[in-house]
Amino acid sequence: MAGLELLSDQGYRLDGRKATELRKVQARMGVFAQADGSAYLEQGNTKALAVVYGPHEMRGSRSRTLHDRAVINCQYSMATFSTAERKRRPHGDRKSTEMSLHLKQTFEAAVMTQLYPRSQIDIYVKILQSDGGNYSVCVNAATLAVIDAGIPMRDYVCACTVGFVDETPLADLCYAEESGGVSSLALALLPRGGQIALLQMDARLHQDHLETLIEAAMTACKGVSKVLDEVVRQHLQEVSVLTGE
Amino acid sequence: MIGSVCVTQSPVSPSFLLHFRTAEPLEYHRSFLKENCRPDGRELSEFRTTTLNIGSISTADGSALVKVGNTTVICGIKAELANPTVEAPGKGYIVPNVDLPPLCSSRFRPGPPGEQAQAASQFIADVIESSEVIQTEDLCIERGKLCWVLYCDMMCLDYDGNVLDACVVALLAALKNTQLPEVTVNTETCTPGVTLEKRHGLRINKHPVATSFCIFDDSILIVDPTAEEESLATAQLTVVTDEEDRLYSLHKPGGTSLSGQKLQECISRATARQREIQKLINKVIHSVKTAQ
Amino acid sequence: MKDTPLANCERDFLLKAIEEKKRLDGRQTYDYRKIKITFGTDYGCCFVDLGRTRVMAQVSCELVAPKENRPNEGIMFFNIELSPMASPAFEQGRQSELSVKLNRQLERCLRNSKCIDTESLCVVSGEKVWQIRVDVHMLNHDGNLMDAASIAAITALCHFRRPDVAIQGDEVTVFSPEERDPIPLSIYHMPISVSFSFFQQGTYLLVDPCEREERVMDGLLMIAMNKHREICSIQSSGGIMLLKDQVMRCSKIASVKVSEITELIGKALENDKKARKAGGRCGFAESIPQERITALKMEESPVEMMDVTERANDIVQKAEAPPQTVPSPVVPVPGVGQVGQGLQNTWGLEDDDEEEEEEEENGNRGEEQEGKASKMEKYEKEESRGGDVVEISDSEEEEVVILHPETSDKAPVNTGSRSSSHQKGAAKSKKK
Repeated sequence: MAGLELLSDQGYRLDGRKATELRKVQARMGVFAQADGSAYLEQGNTKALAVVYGPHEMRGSRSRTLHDRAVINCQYSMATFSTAERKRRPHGDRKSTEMSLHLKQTFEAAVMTQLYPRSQIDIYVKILQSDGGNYSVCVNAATLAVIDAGIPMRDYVCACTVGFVDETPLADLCYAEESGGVSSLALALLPRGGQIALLQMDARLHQDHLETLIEAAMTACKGVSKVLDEVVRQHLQEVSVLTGE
Repeated sequence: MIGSVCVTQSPVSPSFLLHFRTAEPLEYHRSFLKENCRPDGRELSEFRTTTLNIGSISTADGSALVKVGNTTVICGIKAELANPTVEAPGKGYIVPNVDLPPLCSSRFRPGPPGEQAQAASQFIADVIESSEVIQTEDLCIERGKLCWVLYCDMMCLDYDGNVLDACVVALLAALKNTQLPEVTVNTETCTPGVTLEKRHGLRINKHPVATSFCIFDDSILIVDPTAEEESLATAQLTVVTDEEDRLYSLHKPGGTSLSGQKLQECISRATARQREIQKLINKVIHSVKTAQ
Repeated sequence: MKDTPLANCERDFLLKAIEEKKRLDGRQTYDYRKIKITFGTDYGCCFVDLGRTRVMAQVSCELVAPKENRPNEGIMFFNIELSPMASPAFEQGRQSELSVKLNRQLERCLRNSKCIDTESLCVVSGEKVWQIRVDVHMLNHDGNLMDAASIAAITALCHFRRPDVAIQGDEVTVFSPEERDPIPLSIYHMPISVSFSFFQQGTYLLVDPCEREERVMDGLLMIAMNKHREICSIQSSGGIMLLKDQVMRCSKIASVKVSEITELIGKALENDKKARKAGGRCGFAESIPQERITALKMEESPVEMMDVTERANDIVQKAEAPPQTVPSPVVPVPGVGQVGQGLQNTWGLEDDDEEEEEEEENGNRGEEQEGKASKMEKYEKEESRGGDVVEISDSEEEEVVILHPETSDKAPVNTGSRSSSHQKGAAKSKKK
């Protein structure tokens, strides 16, 4: 049974982590000069890049301008060399479009769009190396990029993917665990208010376990938010030293 | 940062310079060029700082990240097994692809590849073919039945001019970094057996390096243009040379004319640059090997 | 075609009604609309009506080579078509956001939950497997397409029978339905999706939104479950913020609804089986003459009638009595009568000058009274007077020429002024 391999008797997972342990998160903000805001985030072996342009004037179809809010435009794509098998179609296939829609929905809830009527904010996310938890890493990277661009948000948006094996929730799944047929739940959370911006779950899970799984996801997200907070503060310190006080 | 080596006649405040730069970019650049220098403090024939990082993407068979100033290009190489073409049964093939996504600059829109990306892909394909950087016979496993296909995907992450140079350097470094697994063909069942543990590197014959130039006002030649300089230039030129001082490609897509003497200057500058880059790549590869 | 936008007053009305726990069609907050399931002649064809939302699902199968990384599993393919038949907002051919969303949700609900045993679809490992294709077509869009599509898809899969296959060495023979009975698919469980819509930043919750309610909602939560209380998929969409308790509450409601719907599907399948066994003609063609499918009968919708009679009586008593006096029409010229308000005649005809002054007087008098009542009287009086004259009382035509030898010069003027008075009357009432 796949469950035996994924969680050993002593409670260790495939890569030696404990059940509730997150992978190592490393992030850098302000990596690109062209963009208004950019961030690079690594969560274990998954590497993602997020770039934000805006707020700027509506490009393309003027008819989509909203008179009281900004339009958020997201694009999610994976590099062709990011997965073990070469990806033939990096954009335009159904999964990427669905991910872009989910990202857009998540950030529409979090960004204070009423402050920028008739404008557009572009968020581009690219996965350079994929090892599970694609959506969560994208959301975390995009949060940092939006903060780097100086666009006001209601709170950090932190995301995490959790799985359920042998009555134990596993936090932050890697690719091997995800493809092993484990029921996985992806959650995007605004930690301070405990509000869920996006909830997505596949595979069978009994209703009674739902509560424990959501709880575990929320705790994991709060852990991620602490890391992101530290990264932002450190970046601000560096920047203020450079500009000179 | 406008701190530069040149000294202008009258003292001006930095904010004035910034407005001047936005309102009259050509005049702004000309005023620097008159003093034989550029806004970011470089000489006319000086390159921006080049940084190289290899082997960072573990899902790719070979990878390299190159930064020329602010321009960032990442190249990932994936090797797949395929049937060789009918015309060349004893050769494998290399498929390059340059991607300029909208995240690298606001001038690119989402959608199918634009003409700049397509032109760059074709340029890289020409360079690979004419320079024979890899002998495609090396990629053949069994004549007429099985060969390697190398998909080289170059992606620009930050666009600040001079993408072609960065792409070529990234491609070369990634190829040097590529490790292909051993393939044995089971003669009975005709199925290939791949042993992922045993890997060998590719044999790189030549080291082509590209150098890009920009021509201002029909006479002034500058090396390694930034995005702003590229948009103001009257002509562009790219020269590809290798370590044996052979010329592989001269790419000048239209623009104002250039005298033969200036062209010779370009070529000599390109050869100097080639030695620089080759040394950089060798050193980085060596450091990775000793670290392993 | 672009969708007609929702008017602000309609939106406010809907939101206010939801605050008072009232829905447009009289349902309760957690009620589903009436679900009707019918089957077609072929195995695997199924129609689902969810209120007025209508959806059709068709299952077909084909022998193909399997995927390389899964050589002994069959292939499931899902496709949802949003045809322009369903709503003028859907365009043919373009893959809109809604279409991508619905397709992905259906795929996740049915494929990732492994409701079908794909290994039983394998014929020759590595060479031939069955590819099961489920096509769902939207026929009418009245909200909650996802639920209807999931019910239709899973029912069609339960109903479907694939041809029997025999393997002899390397040869594979596929038997037609006449030779051997086709076999049903092996289905582990039936995942059904339940949609919850949220309003006013998550304060109010409705199950099974209709199209109007969908337009004003903030966001949607879709929970797919089976009757064993296992959750197969959860998806929140639309940018709402949820709290954990809301999600838990929704999942409890969903489990109740899913068991009801699963029972209904079971009954429908049973009925269809009986009908086929009895040998009677069944399916789409049969139901047309009996108007079972094609007629879109309006269901009786309950209207709140609690204290209507008392309220009506109240209003009638309190209302003012209609006025007793009626302004008498003025007859300036035989054949012409005028009463009621009107504006100045701008035609400048000499004959009308006298009438103008009288009109103004009439207008002053008539202002306090109901214009309509007097107008009606005027029409009646004119009818009685000009017997030969053909009345085109409501026409706005400028000149109606009626040929009477004696009154030839008067007739145009009469009708002209009459129509002008109509216009004035209309204008005045508009002004009011």
